[in-house]
Amino acid sequence: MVRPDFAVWLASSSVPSAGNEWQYPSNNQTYAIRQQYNKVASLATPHATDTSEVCRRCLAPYRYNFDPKNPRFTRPAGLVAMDANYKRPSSYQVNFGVQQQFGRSTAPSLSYVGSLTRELPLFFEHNYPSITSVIQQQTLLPILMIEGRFNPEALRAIRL
Amino acid sequence: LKTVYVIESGQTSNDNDLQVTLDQRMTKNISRQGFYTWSKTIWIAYMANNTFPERI
Repeated sequence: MVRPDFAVWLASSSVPSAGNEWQYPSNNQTYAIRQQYNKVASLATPHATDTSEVCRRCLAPYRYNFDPKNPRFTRPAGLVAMDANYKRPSSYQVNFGVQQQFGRSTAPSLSYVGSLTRELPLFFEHNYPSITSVIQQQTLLPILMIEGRFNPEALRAIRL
Repeated sequence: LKTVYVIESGQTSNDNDLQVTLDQRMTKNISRQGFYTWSKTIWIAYMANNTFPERI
């Protein structure tokens, strides 16, 4: 007796490896401005206790009182934007298998499982030097660490 | 600006698994099963604009 089985799944946007890309890194909401405070005096109120960075009379977390007659821009520490060609992540999963019984007591089976994910989001830091410029200048060492993490592309630049 | 991140659709992953299983019934109440699984995953990150990516 031969017993086959198969199934196909399609999942959109709920890819486990993608996570919630709009919340990463912390407070980097898309198109939002993130301020940086270097002298945090209290984690409970990180932007209201250090008078050298923030004025006491200002409405936290803003660094100044807004005046329509004298508008000022807030200096951001970071910016996150979406690419114009951003696409929704998707995941395709397929499996099939076959089982055959030999005699009364033996049944071997062969099964395949495939999981294909497409259009997963990727953060690009546009303020870092490009690999091409690093290779061309050759006097610069590739950046081995990016924000405390090892950068595997540095090895790629060395190999090239 | 300290950091300027742009979220792009730059990653792809392919996961392929193949499993061979053998079921054998030894007695009325006892059976045994053996299996071998071959698995391979390829993760691709596209280097758009030649900048360094940060995978999430």
